[in-house]
Amino acid sequence: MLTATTPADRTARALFALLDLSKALGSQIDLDALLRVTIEKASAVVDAERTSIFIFDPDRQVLRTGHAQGLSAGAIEVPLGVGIAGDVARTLAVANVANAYEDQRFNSDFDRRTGFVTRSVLAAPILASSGQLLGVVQSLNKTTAPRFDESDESLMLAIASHISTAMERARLTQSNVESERLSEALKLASDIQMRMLPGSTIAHDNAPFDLYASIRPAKMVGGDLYDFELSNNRLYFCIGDVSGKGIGSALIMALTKTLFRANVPYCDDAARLTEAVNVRLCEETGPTMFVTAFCGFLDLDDGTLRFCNAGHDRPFILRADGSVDLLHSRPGLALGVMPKFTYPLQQMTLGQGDALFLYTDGVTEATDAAEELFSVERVRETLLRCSREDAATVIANVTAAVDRFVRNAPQADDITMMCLRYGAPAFSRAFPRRVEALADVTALVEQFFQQHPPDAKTRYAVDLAIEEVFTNMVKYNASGRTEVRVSLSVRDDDVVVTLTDFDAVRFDPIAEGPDVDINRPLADRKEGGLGIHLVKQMMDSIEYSHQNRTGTITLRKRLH
Amino acid sequence: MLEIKVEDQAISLSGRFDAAEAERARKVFLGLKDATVVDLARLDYISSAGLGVLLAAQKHLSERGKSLRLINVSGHIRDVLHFSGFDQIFDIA
Repeated sequence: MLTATTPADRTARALFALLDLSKALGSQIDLDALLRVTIEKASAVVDAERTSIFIFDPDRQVLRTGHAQGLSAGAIEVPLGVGIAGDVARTLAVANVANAYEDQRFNSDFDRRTGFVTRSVLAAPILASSGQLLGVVQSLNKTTAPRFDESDESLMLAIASHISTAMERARLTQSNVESERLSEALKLASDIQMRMLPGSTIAHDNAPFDLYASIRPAKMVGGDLYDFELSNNRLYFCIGDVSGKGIGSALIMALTKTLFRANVPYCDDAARLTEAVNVRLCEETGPTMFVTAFCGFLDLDDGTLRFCNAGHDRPFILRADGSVDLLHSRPGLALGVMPKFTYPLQQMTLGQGDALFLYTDGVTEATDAAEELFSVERVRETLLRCSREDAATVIANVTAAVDRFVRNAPQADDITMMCLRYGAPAFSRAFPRRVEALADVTALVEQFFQQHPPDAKTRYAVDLAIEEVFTNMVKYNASGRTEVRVSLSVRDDDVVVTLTDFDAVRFDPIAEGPDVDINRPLADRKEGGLGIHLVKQMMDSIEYSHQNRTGTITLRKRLH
Repeated sequence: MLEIKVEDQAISLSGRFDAAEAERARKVFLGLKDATVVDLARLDYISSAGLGVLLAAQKHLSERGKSLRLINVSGHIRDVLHFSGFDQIFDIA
């Protein structure tokens, strides 16, 4: 077991504990034993002093537990709505309380009876697949911080969902326990993977770069990772690939990404960073496991790129003049093999409009039915045809080319790509999620058009398209927690506009919105769908993409 | 900003008829009881929000056997009305 010394270690420990929990859930069929094991592991996951699971009795409308850590005497019974757990059972929402005694809902009976002092509380509902309440899982007193945080909430929801599955399974007579266990483990691994990745792009105001990343995991479990972070006018990014498949790879993937991110503030450069990650990974990976990775820092002031390649596929450089070449990089050893390896730092300069295209071997080794590989050459050919497009489009093009090549052959490996272009500042700003913000959006567009005067037709079309898409996002995702970002730039002779919602479920208004028949008589005409219909008529192109709760619409129209 | 000038059986619009203004305009248009001429000479811009208000008004009036007539429609506004098929359900001059 690791001792917690750094934030990276703590995160890794939480993940190992979550894995432990899943294994335990997978191997128990007896409900009592299962719940006993769960509360122990759950405390480890969120660093709580103790955890209880309350089972809901629908006949008597009470929550009952005999399974609380540190409780010798019998069951606690709490009516629905009483106490924080009771409130969670009633509202079916997570409760994260910093100070129990300052919360109206808190019921101090248990404390009084046992002498325990409750401080922070984190409780989540356990819901059946039908949505019905099964119970509540509640952790008390975070040991490593004054209160539970957002990532604890997230982990708690994951725990609750795994308990729910295990409970449902324990209650049924199952003949196929083995495959249930396996699919549960895979689902956990997939949860871990998706929780660890940032969205597909980065929120920034007018910073001189365009970044887009995408990952398409093979089946449910993967070992590919990517990460990026902007701070102090320096953009950190990495891409990596864990050897092998399955839950072990997923965990190493999560660990690797966390180690990189945690060490970024402490390392001067990409090589020292890689070395720091390598040392820790060597401790965790078995002799046959390794991770290839490419990480770098792009200085946004002057385009200097300092990078380190640990055995990863060489990225492409897309120059502003349209040329596409493999980056000169000394390959270096994969991570997790030799703890004392010294990684070389390499450097180059990106000029305005130059881009870096990174990928994992899921792209180059994508195979068609005749067992032929997509290969580096086909990536290059595809990039040559779209090298001047914006990052999201470059990635969409390569993805489409791989899909066309592979056709129906199954996807064997994660397909991961990242495109980063260094360039003139785009006009980009985030807006609050309100129709009233439209005036400010219009002002941004105005500013953009002052720099890049358009045809009158283009001006109208872009104005309209932005309004329609923005109001759509605001209206149909009013509960989103982030702002909506609008960015405008000129690429060749096109105005390119992207609108990004960083907190949205997948909904493609172009494909999934209502159809509009403009030839229907007055009585049959509806207001809905008219906006997107107009956008389709007036813009040259409109595309939707979605990843990790980030939905992006990209619009294009010729400037003149 | 949208300016709505209401006279006897005539409305003239100037400025931008967009989502920010639609609510306010809807109240005016749905209050109409008679055939009305809508002058768009000084309207710079209309989006689906504005079109929605016009559509609702037209349906509302047609229940009473009346309708709107849109005049001084030019340029981009004309294009938008065409793309949305409104030239088939409105009298446009």
